[in-house]
Amino acid sequence: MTDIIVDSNIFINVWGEESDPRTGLALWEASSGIISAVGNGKLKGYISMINVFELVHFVRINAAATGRDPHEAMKLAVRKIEDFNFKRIFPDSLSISKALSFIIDLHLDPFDAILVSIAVNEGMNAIISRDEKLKKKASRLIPVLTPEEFLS
Amino acid sequence: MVITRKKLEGLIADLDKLFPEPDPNAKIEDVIGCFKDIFPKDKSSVELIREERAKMFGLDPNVPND
Repeated sequence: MTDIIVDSNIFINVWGEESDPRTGLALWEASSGIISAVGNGKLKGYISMINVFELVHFVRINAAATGRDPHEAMKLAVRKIEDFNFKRIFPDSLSISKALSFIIDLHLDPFDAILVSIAVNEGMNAIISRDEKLKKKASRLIPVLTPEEFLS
Repeated sequence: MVITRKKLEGLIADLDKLFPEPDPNAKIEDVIGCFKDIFPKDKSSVELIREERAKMFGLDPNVPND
């Protein structure tokens, strides 16, 4: 079974039904394929609690800005992660310590450093993300693939 | 921290509230676009997240992070 860890942007692709403004590519399609594959057990999917925090925070500020109930929106966001069987990973002291070395050596931001650290420490097969900067900086440690690349 | 049985039961109850059991009938169709009405459309999700991370650290989102 392939183990993948998913970046925040994959969920936002789907939750926002996002398309690439330049190419028109429906980004949500392959991203929803990833979420479905985890939900039906074809893939083992993981998410860092730091990314859960980020997603819930992102939903809250955008809900508040558009007049939607932030509290209900945050609860819905957690529900939409839980329903598809993503396993939550709580960064441990080893992951946090290693993340600092990635901040220094790879110039990753703290969020990405923890994601990469967990992925490496837990022996994931790939990080699924659309973040080109993350891919450029972390690919020598672990494959960083877009949903389309992973599913092809 | 000393964890008593009572405290542990309370913690588990709190976690159950935070993380609901997965709905076995959940469909991906119900997830696609569930926050479409609230997310900005003028930037990509990658850009929006980068901006939000910069704000969390009190940084100017326009300063390059390379």
